[in-house]
Amino acid sequence: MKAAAWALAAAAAGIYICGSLVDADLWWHVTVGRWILNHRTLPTSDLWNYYGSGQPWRAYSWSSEVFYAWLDQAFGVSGLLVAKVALGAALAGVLCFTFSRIAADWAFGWFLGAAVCIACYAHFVLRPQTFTWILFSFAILAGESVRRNGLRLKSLLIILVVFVAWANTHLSAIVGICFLAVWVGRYREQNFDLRPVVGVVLTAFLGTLLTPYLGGEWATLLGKVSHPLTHRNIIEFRSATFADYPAAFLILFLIVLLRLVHERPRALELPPLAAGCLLAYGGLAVIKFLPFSYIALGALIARLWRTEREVFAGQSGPGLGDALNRFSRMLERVPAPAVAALALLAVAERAVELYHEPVRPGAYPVEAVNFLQETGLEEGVANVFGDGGYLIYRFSNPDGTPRHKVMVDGRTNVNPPQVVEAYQKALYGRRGWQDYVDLGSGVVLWRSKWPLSAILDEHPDWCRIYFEGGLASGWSIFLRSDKAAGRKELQPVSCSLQTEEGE
Amino acid sequence: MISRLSWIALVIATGTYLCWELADPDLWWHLTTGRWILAHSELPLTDQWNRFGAGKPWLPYSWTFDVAVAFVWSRLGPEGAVLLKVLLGVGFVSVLTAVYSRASGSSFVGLFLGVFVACACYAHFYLRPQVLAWMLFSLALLIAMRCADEQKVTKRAVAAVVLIFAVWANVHITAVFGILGMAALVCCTSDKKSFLRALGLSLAAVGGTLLTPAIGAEWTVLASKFLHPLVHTSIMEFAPASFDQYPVSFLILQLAVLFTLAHYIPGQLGAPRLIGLMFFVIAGMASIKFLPFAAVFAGMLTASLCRSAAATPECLGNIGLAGRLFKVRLMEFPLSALSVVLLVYAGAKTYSLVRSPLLPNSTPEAAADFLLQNNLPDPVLNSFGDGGYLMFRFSGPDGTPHRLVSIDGRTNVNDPLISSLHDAASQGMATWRDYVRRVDPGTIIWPADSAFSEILRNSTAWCSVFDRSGWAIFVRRSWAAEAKTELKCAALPGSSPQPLQ
Repeated sequence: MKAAAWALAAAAAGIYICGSLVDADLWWHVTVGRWILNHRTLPTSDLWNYYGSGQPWRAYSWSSEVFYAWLDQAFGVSGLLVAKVALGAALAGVLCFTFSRIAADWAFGWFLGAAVCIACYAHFVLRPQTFTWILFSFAILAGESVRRNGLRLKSLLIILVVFVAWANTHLSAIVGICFLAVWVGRYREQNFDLRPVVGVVLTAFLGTLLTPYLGGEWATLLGKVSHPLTHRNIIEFRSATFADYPAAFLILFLIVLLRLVHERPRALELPPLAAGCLLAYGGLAVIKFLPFSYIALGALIARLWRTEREVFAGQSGPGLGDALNRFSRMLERVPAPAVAALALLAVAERAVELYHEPVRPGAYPVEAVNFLQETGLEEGVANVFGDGGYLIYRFSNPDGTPRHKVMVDGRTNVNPPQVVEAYQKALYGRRGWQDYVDLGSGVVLWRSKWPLSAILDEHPDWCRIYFEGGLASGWSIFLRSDKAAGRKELQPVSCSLQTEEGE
Repeated sequence: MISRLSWIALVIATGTYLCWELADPDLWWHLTTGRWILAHSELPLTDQWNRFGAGKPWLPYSWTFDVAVAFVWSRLGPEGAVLLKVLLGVGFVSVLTAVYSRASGSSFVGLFLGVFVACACYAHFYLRPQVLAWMLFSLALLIAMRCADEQKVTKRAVAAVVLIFAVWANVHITAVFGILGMAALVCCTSDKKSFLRALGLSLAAVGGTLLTPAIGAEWTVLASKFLHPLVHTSIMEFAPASFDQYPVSFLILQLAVLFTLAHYIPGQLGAPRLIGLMFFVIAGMASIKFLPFAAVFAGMLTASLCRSAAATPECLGNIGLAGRLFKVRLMEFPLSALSVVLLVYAGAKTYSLVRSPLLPNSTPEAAADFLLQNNLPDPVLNSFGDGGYLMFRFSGPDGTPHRLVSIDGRTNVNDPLISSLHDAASQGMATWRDYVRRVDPGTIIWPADSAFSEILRNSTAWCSVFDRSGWAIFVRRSWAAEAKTELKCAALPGSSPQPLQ
């Protein structure tokens, strides 16, 4: 009863971090998955990007994409939403389980897992990378077993399976391999034993080769490795600022860890501590990687807790360790029915919210694309980077083959650099914005409040033919006036040449 | 001991390293205010230069700095101003190294810390009054540290605090940071006497801040400006720190060293000092303008820990050993030759700065010339960053304005509505028209490569009459047509562009 109640509470923490579907990239994943399901093979070149099609491209997240596509075909948006909720619950469950096992204290591990799960709130979307956080936790748990018990077949098999799954889900397996290599070492032994390190690294690397591309994802990774630093205008690639919610969580975890280390200076060996701090810095430099930092720091705190818990419990003066220990013991005493009731309430509240709003309003240009389709203006649309994924979905057939291509989309390794450069000028409304617009066929689908909309609104060559959601949000569609002249039925919302005063 | 020549050479070289050409947009309004004060021999009690602030109460709380800059400028021009900047840089490094040397009891540690903290302030170092505030902050911290060590507040200390804060209050509005920093250092233990010492020093400091021409009215200005760093986050210096910024990396490095030292000598940093450090770090990370205060405060705590470990350096473990080895290796260096190299660098840098004191294209100089020569119509709509320079250009040598700006770098002068409309327009948001409507300008002067300029360039209502050196000027098309002027509008985009591919 008690275990079930706390498992339910963990699931509630996972469901708490689930919001409505909002991620733009989800839709190109679904489209790729549809294509794979229908063609029974993986694409080896791009098919959906106007300027990238025909260029070599690997669908390295194919397993998630196939799953999303199947859900979308079978259950629609509801299926995808249920998958997101299940992923959240699984993430919370795995984190609580992992930290409980490492800390050898289920109450403390549960608390730590729930805290790390909640820290992931701002990053939690239905995307393949979310699944890798679960795999990272499993890898750390298996690594902990290797560290304590030496190289055993069972642990190695788990690591192999984890990294096979990881390599077939996302490109970031290298994060897991590097952290695992440091995590398994026993650095205080007189003769440092390198075998566990080599064993887990080789096993993990072998796992990453077991993909349909036979490890070709490593080549893709090499080609993309600088993207977080070169594509800084993408929100998930920017560096954290002190005002960010996720950065505050990381700083909190760092303070707890460093304070515990301060209380018990020799509890942790330097290499894993340094690896955790390095990962934290990586997360602060590129916020996309923050969840890996939370998990790594959580694992370090759990490891410290395992060896020092008794000391904290018996120490004379008050300290953070003592406070955390008292809190954990208090958690253990909370009656299981109360925990279950509270968890059920939280789950029910979130479930009602998600039922009423499965897709966040204003997240996707649904009506604007309907308009494009009704008016036959889908070809050569100059679009926003973030909308590319959704346009891929809407511009493709049910079997994933494209009817029309997009100019730019969320796959950073598909967009040609000169298109990205031109796009950035258009994004910020700088000189040369025409370079991007001219790549299309005279149709622009843009966010109404962004600079390019204001520029095109004034430009004598362009007419706004669609406008939704007011100036602060929503989308506008612009058509070159020479094209608009031949389409009398479109009834422009505004054409600059028709206004006497532009202000 | 490190030789005196090497010490001086490194301080001078670091001070000049901090300096580059004059580029700070706010320098110009300080200069204009200083000119006005010099010409009128009094402080302005109301704003005179901002269209939406003119006539409303305004206090030039940096008046001493403004007067100094205006005086130097009137005698020596921009070359004099850049020399003043070099002097400020060298003065800043000298004060830091001296303060840290006294606090740590070692000129070597003091020099190392002073140079490090000065370099941490590199990105914030401009010819601005706040640099003087950093120097005064470090001096105030030194006095507080000595009071804490000696466990008494002498009359001399009180007098020094009054003097420091009297200067501070006449230079910048941030004196409250100094009071908080001193209190955190003096309250190093939980006994009542240390609290009373902190209270005494704080009262002396507050007393000092009342010795201004406005008799401490700067406190009311501070109260009204208190939230500006959080409200005006679109202003670069008020933005929250990002973890890939140069000064943040310096601070993280500094904190790592400080906490390592604290780890080796536990119990030396009391709770008030840690809380003080946390306050300055959070303030600096929330608004990067305040990062130098965090760097200076962390430097002072590091110096005090080094002093505690001086008697038993082995207690610092590996880091103490590394420090000692570094010192030994450094002393093996031919320091005299190094000093000559450093002095040559400082001389060459200063010479190049005097040859070219203004950062090219950092001000709308050519655009302002064009506007004034062609007597383009008022009111002028400008960007926040250009407001200070335009104040300077729109005023006479006595600082009296003959044109007004729509917005400038003085956040407590700008109309809040104008500020928010300006921010939306500068981002090229669809509501840009609201800013134009509110100002109702005859002329718009704006950075050329920006969304707002692109909007106006394509507008049928506005006419681009100037587009050079990074700035563009727009006048109403109707005015251009009616006025008998030789100005020509740039052609509106009309022809269909050719595809790239």
